[in-house]
Amino acid sequence: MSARAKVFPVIVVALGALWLLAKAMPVDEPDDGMAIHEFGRIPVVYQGRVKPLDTLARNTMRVISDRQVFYDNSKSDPKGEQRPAIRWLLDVMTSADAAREYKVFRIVNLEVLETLGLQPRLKPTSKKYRYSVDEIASGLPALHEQYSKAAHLAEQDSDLLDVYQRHILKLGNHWQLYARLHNRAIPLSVPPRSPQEQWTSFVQATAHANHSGTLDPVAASFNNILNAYTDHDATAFKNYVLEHLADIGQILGRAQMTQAGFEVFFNRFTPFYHCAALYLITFVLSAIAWLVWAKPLTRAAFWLMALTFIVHTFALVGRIYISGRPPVTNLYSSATFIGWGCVILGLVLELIFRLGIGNIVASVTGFMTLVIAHNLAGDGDTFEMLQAVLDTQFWLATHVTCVTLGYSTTFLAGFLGLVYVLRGLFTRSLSKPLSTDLARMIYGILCFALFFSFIGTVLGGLWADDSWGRFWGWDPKENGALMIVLWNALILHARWGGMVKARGMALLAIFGNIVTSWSWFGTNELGVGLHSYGFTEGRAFWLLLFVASQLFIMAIGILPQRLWRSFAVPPNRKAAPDDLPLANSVES
Amino acid sequence: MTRTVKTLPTGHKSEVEQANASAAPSTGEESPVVAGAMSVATGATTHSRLVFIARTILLPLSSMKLTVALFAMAMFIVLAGTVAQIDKGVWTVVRDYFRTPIAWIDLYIFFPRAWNVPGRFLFPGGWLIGAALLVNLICAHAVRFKVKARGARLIIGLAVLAVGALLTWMVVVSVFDHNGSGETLTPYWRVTMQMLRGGVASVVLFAGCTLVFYKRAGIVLLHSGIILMMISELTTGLYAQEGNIRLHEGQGKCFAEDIRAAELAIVDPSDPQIDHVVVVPDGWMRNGRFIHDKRLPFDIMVRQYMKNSVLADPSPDGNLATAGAGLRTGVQKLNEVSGVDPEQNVDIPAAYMTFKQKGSSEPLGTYLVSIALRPQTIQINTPHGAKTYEVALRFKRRYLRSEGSENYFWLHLVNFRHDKYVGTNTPKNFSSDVRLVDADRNVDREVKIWMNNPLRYAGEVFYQASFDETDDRVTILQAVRNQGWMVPYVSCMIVATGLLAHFGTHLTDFLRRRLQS
Repeated sequence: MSARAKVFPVIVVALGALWLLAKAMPVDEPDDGMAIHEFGRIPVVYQGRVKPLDTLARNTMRVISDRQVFYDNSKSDPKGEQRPAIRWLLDVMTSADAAREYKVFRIVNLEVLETLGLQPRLKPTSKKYRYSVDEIASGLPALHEQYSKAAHLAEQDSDLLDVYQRHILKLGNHWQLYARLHNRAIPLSVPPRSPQEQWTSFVQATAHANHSGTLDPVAASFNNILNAYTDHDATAFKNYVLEHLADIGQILGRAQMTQAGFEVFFNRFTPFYHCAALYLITFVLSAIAWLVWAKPLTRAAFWLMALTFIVHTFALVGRIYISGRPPVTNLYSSATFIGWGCVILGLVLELIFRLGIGNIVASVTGFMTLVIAHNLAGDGDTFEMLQAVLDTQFWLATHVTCVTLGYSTTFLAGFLGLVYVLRGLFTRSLSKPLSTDLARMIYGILCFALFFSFIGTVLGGLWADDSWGRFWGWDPKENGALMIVLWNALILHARWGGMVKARGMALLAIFGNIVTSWSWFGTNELGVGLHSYGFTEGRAFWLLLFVASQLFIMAIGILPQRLWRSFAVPPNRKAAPDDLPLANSVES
Repeated sequence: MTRTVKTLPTGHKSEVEQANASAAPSTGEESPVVAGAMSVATGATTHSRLVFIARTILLPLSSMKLTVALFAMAMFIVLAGTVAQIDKGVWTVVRDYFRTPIAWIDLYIFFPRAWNVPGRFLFPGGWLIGAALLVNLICAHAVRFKVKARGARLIIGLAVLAVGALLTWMVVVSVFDHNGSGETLTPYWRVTMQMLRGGVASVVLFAGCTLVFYKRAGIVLLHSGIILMMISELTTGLYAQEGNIRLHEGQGKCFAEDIRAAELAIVDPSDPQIDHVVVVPDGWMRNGRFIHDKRLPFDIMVRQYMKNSVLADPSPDGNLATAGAGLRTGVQKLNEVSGVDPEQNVDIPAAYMTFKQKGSSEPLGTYLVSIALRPQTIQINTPHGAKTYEVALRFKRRYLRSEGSENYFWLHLVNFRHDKYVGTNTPKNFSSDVRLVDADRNVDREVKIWMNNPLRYAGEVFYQASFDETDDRVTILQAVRNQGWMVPYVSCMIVATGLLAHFGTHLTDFLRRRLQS
């Protein structure tokens, strides 16, 4: 191997690591010297969980603005200057004039815009379909009127709401969220002094002070912070913030403070985002490796993916530390975990077979699941609290983890099936030994898939038995899991019975993608039961699109083998007798 | 006050279900007899005849193609039973799709409901597919899985298998569970212990299988675990009983209510010591049905029966009711609560019924009865003078009684607690302090039931199931009677051991070959 080929993977991994390090570095304070990032570390309670203000700011921005930053109205630059969410929160809480001008409310429904008397804003892109408090204020009476009508209907039957009414309700709720932050009615920022007491909001604390005559010291220092910010006194602001953190630390204890601090770091680092980017790069490297410079590129892709996998693992462990719970608790975390399972198995496949295929499937599944997770995060806090029945660490750690690994492995087998069909049909690269190896990979992964999906499903039944005495209740989610088990068993039995060989198994494995996505998302679309983690418009559309794409690939996969480029006789060569039925001869 | 209950035989529907169910195990049981005969018989003529029978009958039945086809059919019925839950309650679907030999599948369930796709078709139901899989599996083992061990090894292997089977049985009937309940253990430990017990039994079974079947031990073991699990689901479907106990603080009850079924109770309160109750199951309540039985004090004509309903104003176009609460209240028919309903409401049955003096056509009046209404009184004339009965439609009751006792035992709710996450309405935990009173057994103690910490007593298990959103002094417990509740734990461990062994050998063989080459 040439020196260049040896050094190349090292350079790629080093670059990746440097990039990650740069992203993990702390950021500088803003120009006005306000210690807003220190401020973001203050722990508060919202939606049932102690979390730093930074998380609250980001989640709220994500809900109302569909992103975690906003653009300040800078005169020199029409695009505006990018600012972090915590700045918006501070400005809102201190009723700063600037806060009324930030264009943060995302409104995409044209009818709603008309109700508010606003024009669809397309430029600059930084403010596309985003509107400020001042802009909405003039249309508030109309919004209020439509909101109460829609809310009245929603109380009777939310299925009857039309698109306009849904958007009105959404905007109305966003506005209320903003108003409550502005009035300091949320979050709960004053911790309890004794076990009998509860967290209270700043407003409650001041009301209590009017009554009793003494303001809780924590509430008082919070007030000082906000006043110092209004007075643009950077030094006082920082001192009050540090004092406040120390005060709260006395009450909550060090562990909780460290955890809140870590969460701020986690928010800023956004490890899943970087993982997604690196998986994409890995995919590009492995795709190029098919064309040129195969060995060094494949090695580089492998080691870059190993690095990404470490970060991915760190992110999962970080979430476990923050939430104090096993890795999968909701749809968002299931997506991140499914990706993780696919990647580790892909790495193992690559270690065993060294064909570049493990890299491809791992990077594609890793990237796709993280993109799905990103889109699922739009609902706000990704660490939402669990309903009482679901809240049992033991079962979350065993049943949910097992079932999710079952999803991972079934998807991985399906993606290997896709590789088989696409490479066989459209390239000449699916040689006889490669076809054998791919079939082996699919077979092996399917064995894992059957194991995890079966054990996971049965553990779910045992959880149900332990919680309410019914092992199997024929609930849609249970049925979905059962279908995965049945499908994996079907493929394996078809293979053991000699009904399918390499190609047949690949095609059946692709159908496994459909079965799994039905269990993962489809059953949730039927209605919202105990198992369903939520319903979002448009999810059904993407699901159907995915199902259609898989069916299409299965359809072209059953085209006669003479139409497969890998199996067709090259025009410049006469067919040797043992050359022809390639896929059929693969049977171990 | 104690009560005696006379219950009429259950409706036709459940009798039919039981008849169907009994078909499944009987077909399953024939096969091992044949299989056993096959390996034991040594006489030349009988041997060849048995081989012939085996070839012609067992081979097709043991076909792997049949297995795959049955898996596909099972997936289809599961899918149908899932999408059907958009319109129907989960228990209706379970009855019509899964716990039945034959299912009528409506075409519309697979399409958007607005399209109104007409038509339906016949498909094998869950029980038929399950039974066929069972037969297929057992035949496959009879034909393809040869006993390889001979002599001493075979005897030792069979002995170990027998010990394993005994252990499995002991775990299932919970011989090791001295405590009688897991209350003192954390959920984590309780479940781990249950699985460990199953695990021990399955490891012994695996050792026996290895002695008898050599390398195919894993697959034999996992298949027997599957058989155990399927039989368990069958017996659960046939014999397990569930019910709700809704208690207000200070209230006591000696029965559980099955919110999936209703019954018409006719109470004779004339005896100061004992209420005499006769109940009519909801299977009998069909529109236009005339109910005449010697145990009933009067005849009943069912005018209209509604599976789900809500109380409303009386209908302006003429009220069916001529007496009782129906004069002031009407009722509106509702669709059955869907299996995917987010609120998980229960069906509230209601009916208009005309009661008639026994043996004459003289009506006593048409009454509206509903779960949502209180008991109503009906007076009839007997040779001994007028007699008053209380009539009510209520959820089907199952009275709680420990084995051999004459009297029922009672649960009294002392205190109900329910915690929420700070600043939200999301429930975090709920628990009920309950006084358990069983006079016949000298039991009178206070127990705590909370999430994942049930009370086990007298073959019943009481779970903290739910709470009332409108009244935080009300608890809802679930009472389950299922003798075979440990079977899934054991079979899970058996299958897991089998899968690990089978795939484990595959994997190590493959990796060894890979490393060598």
